[in-house]
Amino acid sequence: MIDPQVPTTADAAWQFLGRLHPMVLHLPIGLLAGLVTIELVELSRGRPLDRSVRATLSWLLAGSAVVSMITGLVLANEGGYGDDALARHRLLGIVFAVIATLLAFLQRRQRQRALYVAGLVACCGLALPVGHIGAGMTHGEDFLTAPFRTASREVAAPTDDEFTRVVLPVFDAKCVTCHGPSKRKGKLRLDSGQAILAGGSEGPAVVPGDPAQSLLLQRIRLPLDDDEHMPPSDHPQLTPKEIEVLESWIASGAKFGGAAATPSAVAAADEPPPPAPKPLGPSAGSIRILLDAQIHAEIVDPEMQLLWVDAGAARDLDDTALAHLLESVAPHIVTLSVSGTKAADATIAAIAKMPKLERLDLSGTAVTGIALERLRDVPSLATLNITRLPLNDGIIDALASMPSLAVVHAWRSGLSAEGARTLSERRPSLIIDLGDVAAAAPAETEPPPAFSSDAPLPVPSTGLTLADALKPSNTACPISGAPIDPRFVIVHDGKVIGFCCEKCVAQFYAKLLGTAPQ
Amino acid sequence: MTHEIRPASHPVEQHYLDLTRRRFFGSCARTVTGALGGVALGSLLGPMLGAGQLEARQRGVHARPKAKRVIYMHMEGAPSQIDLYDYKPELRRRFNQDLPDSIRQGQRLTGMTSGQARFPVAPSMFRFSRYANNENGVWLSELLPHTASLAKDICFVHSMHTEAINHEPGITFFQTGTQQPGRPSFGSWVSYGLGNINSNLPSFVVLISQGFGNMQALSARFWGSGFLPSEHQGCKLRSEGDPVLYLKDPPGVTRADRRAMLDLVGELNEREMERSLDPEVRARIAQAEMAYRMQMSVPELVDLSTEDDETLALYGSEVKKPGTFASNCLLARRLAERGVRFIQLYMRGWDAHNNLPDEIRKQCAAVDQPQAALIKDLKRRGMLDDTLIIWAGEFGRTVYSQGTLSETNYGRDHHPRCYSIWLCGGGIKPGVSIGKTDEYSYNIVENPVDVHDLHATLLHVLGLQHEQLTYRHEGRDFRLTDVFGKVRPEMLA
Repeated sequence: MIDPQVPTTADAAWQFLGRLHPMVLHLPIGLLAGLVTIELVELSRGRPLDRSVRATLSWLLAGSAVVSMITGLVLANEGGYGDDALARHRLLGIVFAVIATLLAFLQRRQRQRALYVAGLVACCGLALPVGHIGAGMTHGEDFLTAPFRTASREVAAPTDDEFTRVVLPVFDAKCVTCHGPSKRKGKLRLDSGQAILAGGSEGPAVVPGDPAQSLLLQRIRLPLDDDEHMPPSDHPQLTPKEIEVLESWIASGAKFGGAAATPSAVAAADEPPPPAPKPLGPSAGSIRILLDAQIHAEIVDPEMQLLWVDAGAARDLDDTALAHLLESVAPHIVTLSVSGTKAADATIAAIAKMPKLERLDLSGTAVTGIALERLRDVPSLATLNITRLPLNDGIIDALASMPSLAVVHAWRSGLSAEGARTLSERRPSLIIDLGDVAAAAPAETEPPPAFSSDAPLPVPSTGLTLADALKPSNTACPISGAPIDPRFVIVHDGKVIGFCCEKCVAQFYAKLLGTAPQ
Repeated sequence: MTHEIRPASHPVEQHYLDLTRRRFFGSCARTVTGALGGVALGSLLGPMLGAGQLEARQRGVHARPKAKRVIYMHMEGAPSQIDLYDYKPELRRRFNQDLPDSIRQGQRLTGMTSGQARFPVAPSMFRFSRYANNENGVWLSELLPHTASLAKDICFVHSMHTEAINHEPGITFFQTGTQQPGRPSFGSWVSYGLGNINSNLPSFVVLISQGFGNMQALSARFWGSGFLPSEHQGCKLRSEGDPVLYLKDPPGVTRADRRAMLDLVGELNEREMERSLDPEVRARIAQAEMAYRMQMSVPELVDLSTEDDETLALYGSEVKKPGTFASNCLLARRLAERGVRFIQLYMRGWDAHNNLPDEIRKQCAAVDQPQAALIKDLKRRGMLDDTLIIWAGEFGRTVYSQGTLSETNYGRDHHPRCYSIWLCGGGIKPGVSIGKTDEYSYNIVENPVDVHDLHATLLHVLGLQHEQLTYRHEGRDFRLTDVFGKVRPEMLA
């Protein structure tokens, strides 16, 4: 079974065809140069060359120009190119292909030589802008002028702004070709401070002050053979020095243009701000490490990017290792189970630093009562499972001091019934579950069934249809005395009354209102 | 262990492979179906691709779930709602009266009773008691005293109805959302949508208990994965002998030998994958690796020696007999503890066309204490809050007797127009009754719930939106709820 959501081989072949464009497009340029050369040679020699040379070259030109055009159209279909440049490149490219094809027909006729030369000139005239726009789309708009530009900027804008002076050149050199004005891969532009903060389709590229959480650096630091690694492995890579520059820039708050990179700075930017990004979730790498350690980690709140972490299958991990693994995602955990693991003091210390933790399952571990006291630092902990823990009533203080605690499952935790009562007095709203499995007795029981068949049969419905029900009870109009018209029927006081015309209906109601007691 | 995807020899093939990954994990993540496509491929490539698995897990739920796992007890054969849950005391005064035409309204009957000269009303011979719940209480039969004592935790639905009138299409409809065989089962949809919790056990496990009455065939496709990738099908654990056949290494083969064999076969399969580009090859590799991990995890799972006497006593005297409903309920708790996403218990033998009182007594005796024990055990372990429990048959049974009627013996035919089921646990409103039937328990008079509504509601509890959980097959997006289904807020906590 081939997965139907996977693109078919035909799709893939189609894209492959499109990507031949950057190679094929060079053929018409060379052939055009050849045809121009023939004209120049003829001009200098004063006599015509063998006509078959021109014929061959011009047919090759026509063919390769059409192929370039087709592959170009296919490639454009893949998307990822700036609209304006693409439209111009496409239009000029098509015109080029058409003229090139005409040339092949024109070169055969000596009479239309003037037209042929005009076409040749037109082709040469077109090749320059087509090629330039196309190259700009691939290599970046100012690829050609870049060597001059860097120098001129330093002359034109001598600034102590670290961003413009040090950071932007790194992006310019390694990123802007694909993430710039003409090509916005992943909807991301890295050519200005605002754009970098605004991010792309996966959210903001940097988190000011937090390099580890910044997607930009995460992607740069992935192994080179990772598909997500940036820049792609076949492009020039960032040097360690450049990565250091980016890191220190982000760590120092990702400031640009002298202003701190704050959301207000984004709003003030001339580009409209993107829709509010999701809160930044746990990093891909940290989740991968948890999964490799047999710890289940799953986003259970897509809106807030909160994690459910279940370490129940990681029974061989020691306390410190478990604590260390949990710390990497601590800010994002909303539900945590370390049931049956070797969790102890170190893990509890890690848990105490989880600001969003709401449910915690410690069942079947060796966590001590003293360690439990640290959980008072967890602000939103609402449900705590301490079943099958070797504790005693000494934990009452700890439980009573947890600010948001609403439910505690304490079966076989050593918390006695009496202890539970004491706790309940101190925290009346707290639900304390000691795992009582006593059966609830019925509220009442019917007498032993006695059977008879004396109940009257239910009254069957009358089977009256709507049409029957709305049939008037009279045949003559109560106002005029004329025969009734089925179009003028009213329901009044439980009776269906027919009239001869609309006027009589109105009169009936008028009389009714006039005589009715108010 | 990790398999690396090695570059394919042909550039078009390599490009294709790149596309599958890039398209699923990159661009398609923007669309909902794409996100689920990502899930599909992510779990398909499973452990082989760290990134894929990550993606799958991150794209699981659509909203915050109330329950993280499911224990679904299916009562094969269709229990009688009239003798268990749908209290109709007035019927006792209609003993042996004919079922009025105004109630039956010419509805179709099965071939087993359509030839009967009369349709004599058979009131339940069992005594009912009222148990306090979070409303005015609920009347329940003497046959299920343990279950009834948990009325404060249970949501009874008295107005369930279905389209099928026979077992095979009935179970198929209830399990897959359509009467025609071949669609993915509820459990495999959940497995596909949410993935594994514990990578050492399958995400969907099926346990079967034999009944005491008339038993109908149970096809493996009731827990099949249809067109979903095949590692999402339910894994049936056998009750006798090895829980999973051929899981143990034969004498003389060490675990290291097995590992070496799997590595070699895995490598050959990788080559086959590159050649054929068939994702089912991946599923095959994933399943072989799962079996290898299950060699360690399953013996530990079924070893009940770590359970203390008090717990064993809670489940009743049959708990140590493999294959009994009691034993399977205890296993269900152990599976839930170990992170199995979807646990399905089948109890066979509810198809009481004749001798209903005798058969239903035995059936209830087998299920009542164990299923109540399962709820209590989960509850005291703090696990009921995030476990969704379902108890349902494929349809109900008729108010009229099939065959001879006496005060103490009668039979009941299939009845799809109304029946009772119950739900309990995470996300479910506890201690309520939903829906009403007429005085004959024949037609629904209030709040009907169809199978698609139930599925939509259950998926909602698990954090999945039934309209977004789709899979593209043969050119269209399929859902568990087809083009139907409404989430029913009255069942939700």
